[in-house]
This record gives sequence, structure tokens and C-alpha cells, in this order.
Amino acid sequence: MGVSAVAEPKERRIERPVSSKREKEFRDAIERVYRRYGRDLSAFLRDVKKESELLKKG
Amino acid sequence: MSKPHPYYRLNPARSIHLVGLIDQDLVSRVTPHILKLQAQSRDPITVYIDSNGGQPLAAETILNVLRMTDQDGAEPCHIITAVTTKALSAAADLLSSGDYAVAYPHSLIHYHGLRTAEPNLLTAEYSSRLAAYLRQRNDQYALELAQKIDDRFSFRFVSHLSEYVTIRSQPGKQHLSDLDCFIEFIGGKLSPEGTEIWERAKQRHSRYAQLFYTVMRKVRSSSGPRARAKLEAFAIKAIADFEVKANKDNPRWSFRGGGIERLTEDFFLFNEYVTNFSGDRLQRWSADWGKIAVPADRMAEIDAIQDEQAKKTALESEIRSILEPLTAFFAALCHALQEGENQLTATDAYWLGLIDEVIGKDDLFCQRHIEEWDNEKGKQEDQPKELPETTGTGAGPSQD
Repeated sequence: MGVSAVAEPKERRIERPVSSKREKEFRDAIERVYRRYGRDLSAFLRDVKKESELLKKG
Repeated sequence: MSKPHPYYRLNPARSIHLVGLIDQDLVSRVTPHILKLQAQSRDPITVYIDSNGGQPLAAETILNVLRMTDQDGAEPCHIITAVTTKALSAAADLLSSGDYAVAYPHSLIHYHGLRTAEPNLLTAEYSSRLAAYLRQRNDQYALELAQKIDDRFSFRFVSHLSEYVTIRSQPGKQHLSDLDCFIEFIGGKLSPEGTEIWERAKQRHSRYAQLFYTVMRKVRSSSGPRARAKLEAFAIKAIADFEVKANKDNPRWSFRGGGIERLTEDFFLFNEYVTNFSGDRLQRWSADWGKIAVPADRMAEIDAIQDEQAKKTALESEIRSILEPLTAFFAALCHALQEGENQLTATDAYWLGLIDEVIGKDDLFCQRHIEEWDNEKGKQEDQPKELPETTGTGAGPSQD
């Protein structure tokens, strides 16, 4: 790489393309969890883990 | 029982493999395969990675091909990246660029700044320009990394709010802000190598926080809309004042003796910080995490506001007070990752927000858990449970 390749730092913003449908799906999912657990997402995770362990035990 | 969601599940039947050096040759080999998968359907594509890295430009090309639309303007395919053994350098960058990024538990993930091999003899002028170029590129990569992993980092922050209550209940820690608690909480989860990066991020953050807070306050106090160049001039003046004040006890410090380079760095850093709040980021963050991040009592006050516009403004103001200090720390972390050699375990990468999930680690909370959760339970409940106490001390660094 030569110094001739030196360019001014570009101001560019990488937008992760997220569709509005996906955004809505995710927000709906958060809303459902929020309705059940409120702000305590740790409690939600504890329940997820319990379910996962039950599933492993068959 | 959870329902598997295709956006969060690895699918070898629709996958490509990035193995070995990332260069133009690899681009040529995988491009036909990607195009075939895209032509078959717009379903997610899994990208398996096992690579020591290579050329950043080749990595970017692969990413661009993966994100291509079609002649009918279809949405880009959702990209799930997965490191099987190792993702180093440009490969680590590719891993973090996935819409959903996954690591196998024993994989190795390695970040570092840009490097170059020079075939020519070096002169003082050439070396100086090259050093400036590498610094600028590192800053640019830090900004791009920040934009890629912003959602993950925010998710780590909001998903452990209840832990901050526990930390604050310890003697002498009642005054800690949410950000202070977050920094302490994550710090306790990292390997020794991960801790080193975290410590560097903390050191950078103490400077960034002061710089951003001081300059932003001055810029905001300037009245009325201004042309961009005038606002930049105002920011440069505020940064110059900041540097003079910060170095007032050092009689040898001057702008001519290195201070001007620092001023330039600060200017681009501040610009990066402001860019983070441009566009719809604040609105998106409010919509995604507002209810969870804002303390329940404050949220109830906001909900009681009748006027919709006033309600939106109040929520965004509340979110801004959480987001600004978090963003300053986040910027510090991204820059720290571009400095030196940073070897991370899969779990470190998870806690630093570089990936979403570590396979087999059910105790690491991820977005998949939320979207795959059997929502029948959610539908039965209308009222949220509340935390045992309000966590509302904001995210900002404590004043003590």
C-alpha cells in the first residue's frame, strides 16, 4: 500500500439494512416479553434456561 | 417450548464457507455460490468463517455481494455469520458484520488495527504520512465497527438492568450510575485478555466522556441553526479550550508541540460521536428499548403526558440521557479494539457486543431467546412485573 493511496477520511455511515417488517417483529417480541416480565429481563432469562434444561431432560 | 426462528438459526443447506486467506481469489470463488443462493430465495444465508483474515477490501466486497438486492429490488438476504474455529483480523470484522453473529464456544476472535507492509525504503516524510494514514483508517474502522455492533452493545446494557440494582445494594456503591454498574458487571465476566481491553476502554472513556460532555455543552449552548462549517469551527474552538484546560499544569504542552495533532484527533472523534446521534438512532433506540431502559416511575410520568409530540420529546430526552454516556464508552471500546493485538474468547466477544450468541451457552442472553420465546405466556399477561427498586440513576458516570 503506497502513500499515494492515502485518502481523506471519508465520513460514511454504514447502515445495516433492517426492514421495517423485521423491526416490527422484533419490537413485538420485546413487547410480549415486557408484558410478562417488565424490565427484569434477567427473570426472563432464568425462565428460558429452566425451559431449556427441561427440554434437555426430555 | 421455543419455536426455532430462521433468522437466528445456522443453516448449512444455505451457506457459504470462508476458509483461509480473505483475498480476491476467495471473492472470486464464493461470489457465484452467493448469487446462486440469492437466486434460489431471499431466505437467510449462513456464512461459516474459519480464517486468519486478509485484505479488508476483499472482506468488504464479500459483504457487499451478500447484501445485494435483485432486479426487483428485493430486500437483501439476512446474513448469519458463524465462526467455527478462528476469525482473525478482517475475518473478525466480517463476523461482527453479520445481521446475527454466532461463535462456537472454543473459537478464537482477534481484532487489531490496520497494518501494512512497505516495499520501499522509508523516509521521515513518508513515515509521517503513513502513520497519519493508518491512524485515520483505524479511526474509520472504529466508527464502522461501532455502527455494526451498536445494537448488540445496547442489548447487553439493557438486558442486565436488574444486575445494576444488585451492584448498587453493595456497601459504598449506592451512588453508581447505570453505566458505572454496567462497566463493573461486564468487567467481571471477561477473561484476562478481555479484561485488558476493557481496562483500556475505561481509560479512553474517562477522557472521551469529559471531551464530549464539555464540547457538546458548548455547541448546544450556541443559539440557532448554523452552517455546518460554522458549527465545526465552534466545535474546534471548544476542543482547543478543552485541551488548554486539560493541560494547564503542563508547562511544556503547546499546540505546536503535538497539541495540534491531538486537537485533530479530538475533532474527528467528536464528529464520530455526533454522527452516532444523527439519523433515526435516537428514535429507534427509544422504540426498541425505551420501556425497558427508562425507570418505571419515570416511564409512568411520560405515559401520562397527553400530547403525543410532548410525550415523544420527553421519552427521547430521557433516552438521550442514557444513551449519550453509553455511546461515549462504546466509542472508547471500539477504538481500544483497533489498538494493539486483541485476542478474545467467544465469551469475551459476546460480552463486548461483538457477536450475538455463543453456541451451547444458554446462560448468555441473546435476541434469539426473545424472538423464539413461546409468546402464549406473554399474551396471557397484561401487566408488567416491576423491579424491586428503581434503577433510575441514568447511565452517566457518577459525579462522585
